[in-house]
Amino acid sequence: MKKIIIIFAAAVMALCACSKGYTPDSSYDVVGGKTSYKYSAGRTYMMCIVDDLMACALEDLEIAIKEGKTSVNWASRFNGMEITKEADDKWQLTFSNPLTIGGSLYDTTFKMMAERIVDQQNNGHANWVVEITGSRIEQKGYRCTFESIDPISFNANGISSGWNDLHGTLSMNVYEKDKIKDRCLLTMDGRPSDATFMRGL
Amino acid sequence: MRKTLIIIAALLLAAVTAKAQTNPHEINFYIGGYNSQFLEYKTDQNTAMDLYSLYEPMYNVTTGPVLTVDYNYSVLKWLSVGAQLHYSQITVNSYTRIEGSSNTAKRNIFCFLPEAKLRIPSPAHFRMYGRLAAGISYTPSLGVRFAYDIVPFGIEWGGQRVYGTAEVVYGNVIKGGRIGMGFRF
Repeated sequence: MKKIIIIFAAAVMALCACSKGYTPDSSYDVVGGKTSYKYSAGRTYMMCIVDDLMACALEDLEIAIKEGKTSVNWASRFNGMEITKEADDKWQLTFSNPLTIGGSLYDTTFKMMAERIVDQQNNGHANWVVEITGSRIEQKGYRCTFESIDPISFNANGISSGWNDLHGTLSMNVYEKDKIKDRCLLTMDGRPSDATFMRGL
Repeated sequence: MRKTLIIIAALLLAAVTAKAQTNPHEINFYIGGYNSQFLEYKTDQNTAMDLYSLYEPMYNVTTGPVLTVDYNYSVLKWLSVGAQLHYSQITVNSYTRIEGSSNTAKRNIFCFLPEAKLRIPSPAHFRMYGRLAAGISYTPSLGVRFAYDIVPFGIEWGGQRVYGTAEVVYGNVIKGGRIGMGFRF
């Protein structure tokens, strides 16, 4: 009897000690107040629009200008993008195809107006001011529209390989089954890592 | 063939008419495993950069051990019938990546399962059995769900009145095993 009780008690303690648990990921902790997030998955998503869409489209635009082409017809994620010269140093880019942003491939449509402010810098890129409107249809009824509510300037400082000085504001509306779910803003004023994300607007 | 049938009939008759144990009531207290019923809510960390992954909540479930008490009445030497009650608590942590924050809720789970316990011929101080139980679980806010509990193998060791017990369990109440103490009267 005594042995049974001791074994039972020991087993109870062992089971309690091994209580199974899962710790939620804490890498998305909110920093900077109730609605302003310096680090969040939403900020990363919007920065992907800036990096994987806008900056990469500018790279293709620079190639097209250099080679005198009016559409992207080479091996590029923007294959099929139409490039129209609107004025001196001003081009319109239109695209409607599946596009990878942040690693996910979904139907993406955008119209981008890019004005070259300063021609080629030391790192091979020009400085641009860009206005964009676009949309993206994703899985399970989600889609978003995005728009530059302030023109976004991409400045290359000649040290690093890309545009490392960004200024402007990008807005994004998120829809789930055609109902608005969220309104977000990404405000850039310097280094890309300093961009601020806001949501629930 | 005829002989075989007679032997089978005789064995069945012996089994059905076999007397129940002298102490037909038994009550057992167990602790064991983790509540497996709600672990389906666990979603692996999703790092995909799409809107669904950002906005849809993900769940992590933490479970404590399951406490069980059962009562059985020995109707035959090899068969007891009764019911088991389970209690456990789970902690559901839901979070969405877009919000970067999580909500935590504790939920109590109660289960009631009628059962049949089948005894396997074995030594007096080392008794083997199996068990089948099916019933319902109830969780506030999640409602009533079907619950089942299968013990393919269990043992009781000790005296006839007080004994220890350990069993292997498969089901949606507990997966793994449980141990306990029993009293027969």
